[in-house]
Amino acid sequence: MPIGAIWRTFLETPLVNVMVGLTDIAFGDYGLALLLFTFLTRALLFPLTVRMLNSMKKLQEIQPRMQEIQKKYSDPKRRQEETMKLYREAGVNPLGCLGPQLIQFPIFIALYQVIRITLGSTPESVVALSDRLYDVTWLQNSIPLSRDFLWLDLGENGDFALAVIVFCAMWLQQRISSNRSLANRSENQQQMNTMMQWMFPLMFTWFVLATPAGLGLYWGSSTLIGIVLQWIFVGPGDFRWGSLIPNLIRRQIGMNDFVPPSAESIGKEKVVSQDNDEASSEKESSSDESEGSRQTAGDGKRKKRRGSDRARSDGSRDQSGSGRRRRRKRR
Amino acid sequence: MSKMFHVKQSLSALSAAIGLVFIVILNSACGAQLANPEGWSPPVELTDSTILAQVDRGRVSGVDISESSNQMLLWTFPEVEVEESSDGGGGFLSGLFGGGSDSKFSDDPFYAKPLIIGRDDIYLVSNSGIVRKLSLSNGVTEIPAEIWVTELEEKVISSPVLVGGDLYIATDQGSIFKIAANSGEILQRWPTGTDRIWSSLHVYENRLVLADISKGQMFFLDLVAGEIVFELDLGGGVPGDGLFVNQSGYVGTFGSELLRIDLREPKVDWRTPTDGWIVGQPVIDASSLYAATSRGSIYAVDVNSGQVIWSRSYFESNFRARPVIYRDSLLLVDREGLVFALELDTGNKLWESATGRKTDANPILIGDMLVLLTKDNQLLEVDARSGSSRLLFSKRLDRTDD
Repeated sequence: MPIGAIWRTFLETPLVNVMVGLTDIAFGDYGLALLLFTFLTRALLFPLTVRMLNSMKKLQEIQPRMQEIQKKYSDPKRRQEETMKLYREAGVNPLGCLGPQLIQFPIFIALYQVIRITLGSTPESVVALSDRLYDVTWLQNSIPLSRDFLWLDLGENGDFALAVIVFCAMWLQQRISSNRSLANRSENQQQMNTMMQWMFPLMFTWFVLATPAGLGLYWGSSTLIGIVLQWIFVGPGDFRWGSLIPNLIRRQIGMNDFVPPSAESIGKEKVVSQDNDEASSEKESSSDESEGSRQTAGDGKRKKRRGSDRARSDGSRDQSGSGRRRRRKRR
Repeated sequence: MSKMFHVKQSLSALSAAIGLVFIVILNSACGAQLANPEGWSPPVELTDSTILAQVDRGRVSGVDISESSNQMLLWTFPEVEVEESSDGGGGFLSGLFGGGSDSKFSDDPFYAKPLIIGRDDIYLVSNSGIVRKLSLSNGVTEIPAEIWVTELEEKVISSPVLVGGDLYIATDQGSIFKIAANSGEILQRWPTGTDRIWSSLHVYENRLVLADISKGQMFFLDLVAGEIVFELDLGGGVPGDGLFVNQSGYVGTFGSELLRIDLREPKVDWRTPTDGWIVGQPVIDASSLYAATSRGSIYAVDVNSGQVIWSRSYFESNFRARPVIYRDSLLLVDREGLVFALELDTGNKLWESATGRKTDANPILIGDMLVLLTKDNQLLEVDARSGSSRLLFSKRLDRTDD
């Protein structure tokens, strides 16, 4: 069986019928059907997504220990061994975050064709849709599908507003995924992060402009769901909303300069928040002790740096949890 | 450099590689099927031996079918130098960057049937809504003169109608335009409140009758009052032309039904369920109505009661073109170019012929020959008695011969 036939029989045609069926369920609204499809896809991928997010969370949590390893071992081989050991201990798989992205690619590609087939970009494709629908009366009778959703014609290419939304969503997702403060020691890494931060959003913005708006709606909504999940399971990393306003503008409107939090402070915040989860609220004092013992385990420089970090990240504290703020005051 | 950064860089490189693979897969998966509109405007007879056909996408030609193959082409309108292209169907990237076209008119084909008035006047409406009036006053062998051209700025699939010196055109955006036939001036535009009209227009007692796809309504526009006076719910969108005989209209729907409409009241006289969409126009012979479905079935229905007289199924077929009645047989062409002849009375198959060329346009019967315009814009003729077929005219063949 040629690959085209496999693609068509096992992915494209079932997806055509799923979309037509969902449209019928969604009161004949193809846009709602696409959103429903996005939720279903994300729900199906949820176990994989959670695994990915846990990996990311653990990676973020072990950052201070990773930095200790870097400082402690000058021999690259030993450093590598210790890092791998740390990964094993923490149960982290650095490649584990790619699963949901990889699975979404064929869905994205098939959906491109499905939208063109179901929404009938040409009269011929509307007529040809009959060949793709299963012999189920209610599916057959659902045709034609409405192309309008909000301000969008879902079958038309090049909606600029949607492209902007997708760009912003993808930029934000990339931004909260990559911790800049961890990269600031390597220029290469920083460049790579910056490139990734802009490359993927720009690439998908181009796709959204060059493909039917329905595809952009799917990708945009899927990205927004991804952001929410990431925020819930991992947190925003070193991202703060305040960082969206450049310091130049902040100065002009009388605001303090934005200073991003350091890697250590984020690592510590994570550890503290984890402690909060683990320790019951009635044992705050014992929790303080345990944190204190952890602090003494670190070197003196770290203590000082943390103190200065706290002073520097005043601008971003508004976004921190109030519990965290109380804890710092107590300390 | 630390291992952590090695891992992170590997991840970034991997992501970039995935991005590239993604683009390649997207290109290969979507390649050949990225569709441009092709146009299913049927050939029409200009004289006994001359037909007007879209033998080059986006352009119409006068073809003298009595001549030998390389002499058939009389003229082509609009007259342009055709740019040769090696593109065999485009691809995702060619779609993005705009490839795969033969001439500057290729992306604007004709779906509407050319309207021929008298022996001289031709009204052409392209898919992008460019309306032209041409004159053949110098004879059918000469390239027609363009009298006027008007742009509607809305897509058009439906065939126009001329009433009392005005041209009425329904659009894919659900509007109806009234255009002065002598000047091309747009006199009026009515929004119908629907978003797609593909079926041809019909005039019944000062009322313009049309049906839409999206809402499944039949609209009655009073030409004197200039407003829609009645809407009839058909229960399914109408993708093809209806057949209008006296005070009755016969339409097929996306709801897999064949309906008879009483245009006087208006009301639905009867509904006959079918196994698929009826996209092609039904045909009538005496008291029987014949219609073919998108799922390969052909129905013979009593026009008075709507009762099915006989039905036959050819499951591999999808019919878009209108059936043709030839003596005691019903000739059908499916989208893959398979031609059938069935007995009118019984539905028994008389012969079957595979032309091997896809077709969506309605065929025309000239003498004993069924003339087909294929999707690749070639003219074929099929002997209505035996089913034997041959290539009648190809623009490429003509170019080669030249």
